[in-house]
Amino acid sequence: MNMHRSSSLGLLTVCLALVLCYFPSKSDAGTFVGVLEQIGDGNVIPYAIAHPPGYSGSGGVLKVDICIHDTFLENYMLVGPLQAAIETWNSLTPTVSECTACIVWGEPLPSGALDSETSILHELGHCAMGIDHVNMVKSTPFLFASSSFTASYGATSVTDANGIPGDFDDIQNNAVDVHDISWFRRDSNNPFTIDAVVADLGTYSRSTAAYLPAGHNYAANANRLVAASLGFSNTQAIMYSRSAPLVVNRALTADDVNTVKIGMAGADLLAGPPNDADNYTFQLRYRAVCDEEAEIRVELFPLGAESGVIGGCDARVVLSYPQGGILKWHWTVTPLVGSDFLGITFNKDLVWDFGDRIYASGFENGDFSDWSAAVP
Amino acid sequence: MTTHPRSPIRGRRFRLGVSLLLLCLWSGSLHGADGDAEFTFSADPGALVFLYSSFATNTGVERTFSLFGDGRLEYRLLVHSGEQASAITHRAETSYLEYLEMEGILQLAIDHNLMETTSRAIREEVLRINYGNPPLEIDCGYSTVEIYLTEFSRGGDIRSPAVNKITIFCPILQARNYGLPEHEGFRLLDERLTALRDQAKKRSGDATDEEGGNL
Repeated sequence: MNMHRSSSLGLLTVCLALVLCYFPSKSDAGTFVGVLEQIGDGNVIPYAIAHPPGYSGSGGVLKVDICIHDTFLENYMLVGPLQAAIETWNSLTPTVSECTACIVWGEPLPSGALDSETSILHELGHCAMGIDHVNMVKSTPFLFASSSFTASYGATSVTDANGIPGDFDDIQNNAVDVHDISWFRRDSNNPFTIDAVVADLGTYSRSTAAYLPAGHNYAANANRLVAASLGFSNTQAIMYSRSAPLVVNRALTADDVNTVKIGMAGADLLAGPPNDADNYTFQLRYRAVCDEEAEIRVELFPLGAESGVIGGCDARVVLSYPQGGILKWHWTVTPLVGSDFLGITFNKDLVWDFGDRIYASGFENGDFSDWSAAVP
Repeated sequence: MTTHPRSPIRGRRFRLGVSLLLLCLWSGSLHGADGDAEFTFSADPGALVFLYSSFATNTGVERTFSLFGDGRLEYRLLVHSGEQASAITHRAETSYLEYLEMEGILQLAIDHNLMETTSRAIREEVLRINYGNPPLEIDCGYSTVEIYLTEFSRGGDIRSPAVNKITIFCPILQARNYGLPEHEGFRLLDERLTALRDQAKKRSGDATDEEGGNL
């Protein structure tokens, strides 16, 4: 893949955007992995963008191969759901009303089986696409509890006048500063809108101070309550942090799709001409064997029957390419040191619904590349 | 090392020796890999000696194992719904450990450096391993160990009382990823406490309130 780094015009644009976007503001709601973890260490600044594995600043097609680890026979039950989740991410099709039994923080946790395709779609969002939760998670520094409020860094409380957590009227409070890490749509602050607007630095921002629509206090995120308030039923971002048994969410919202597309705008974060040589697309591919070509390895592993842990993504982010000074915008999802793969692990001790999706490798269309032999 | 073998009592309490109650102290010494850690802990039934908790950030499920001076092991399974909602207790069980089991838990923690390190030190080591880039601590939760000793010494350094609290993210996954004894300690403590709770329940004949499916 040829690298076309940002042109001087692009760099200038980025610099200007940085000035406009960085300085603290109060911050819809797509976020990128690694930002929360690294702000506290002083490694990244809130506008950092994380990209899929293999991204190095170039335009073109990023191919990410994903396999099933052979540690347990049960792992192969994940093949069908994995293939379905791969297709969903590859299609980047925004939807509404596709979330069955979705719950938000504040609602009781049901009992039952976990939908594997939903969980894989979520973890691929982290490990393969580089995007993070849209809402606040308890592990966030200073945070009191997980909630549906929009993800940020440093908030110690949130003032929510209308009782819809994570929507436009929230005020995130901290005596010192709240770092905005969530990207929102400038024109509407509506994370569910499906239209032809191209997601990039010209249409999305983190800066609530500079770019929120009039009357809005904070970036809205794509949780189910906000969706309902905007007229979308049973709709929730796959990257909302809370999951549970019985939840079936096998599709993407506009917020999931557009957050990924912000990254796809490439090094200059601008999707359109004349700076589009750095734009990239991606192709996630199921790989039958976890060999050196595979980037992500998926497995079931015992994490405790009562631990409540559904799974996780073993990864880190590294600079996509050398970027000097504070202009460290671009980060790439990468395996941990000492590992050949990004790891997606699901709790083998839980009860799973593996769905009715059967393994498909393309053989029905004459593609035998996954097979060692074909007869005749 | 002083040990007091006891028979578990069916019901709710240990039958502790009177002299032991008067002493109100357990004492123990460790001769692990480094050979010279010694500790004592309270035998007061009201004294928390050890706590292990885990929190699942995607589901709000919290498990807490609290070990008290008389060997009482309280297990709580809570679900936090977040925001203003209070946690719902899904399971609360009490069982009693033998002295050696109790000491074994503390020994395991101390042998894995959990009395003498800090959360920050573990994190810095993980950062060092990953060339300064922290791992994504997403979805796999975090666990906390709290140790409350009346005295702890190693190599002439005596702390009395000696308390330590450590929180790390994704301990079980990290135990696979790194060779750090602290992560392995967390993993083993989780495994050991769960097993001890199950064994103690069987000994005491307590009924089990099992639920089907996942929480």
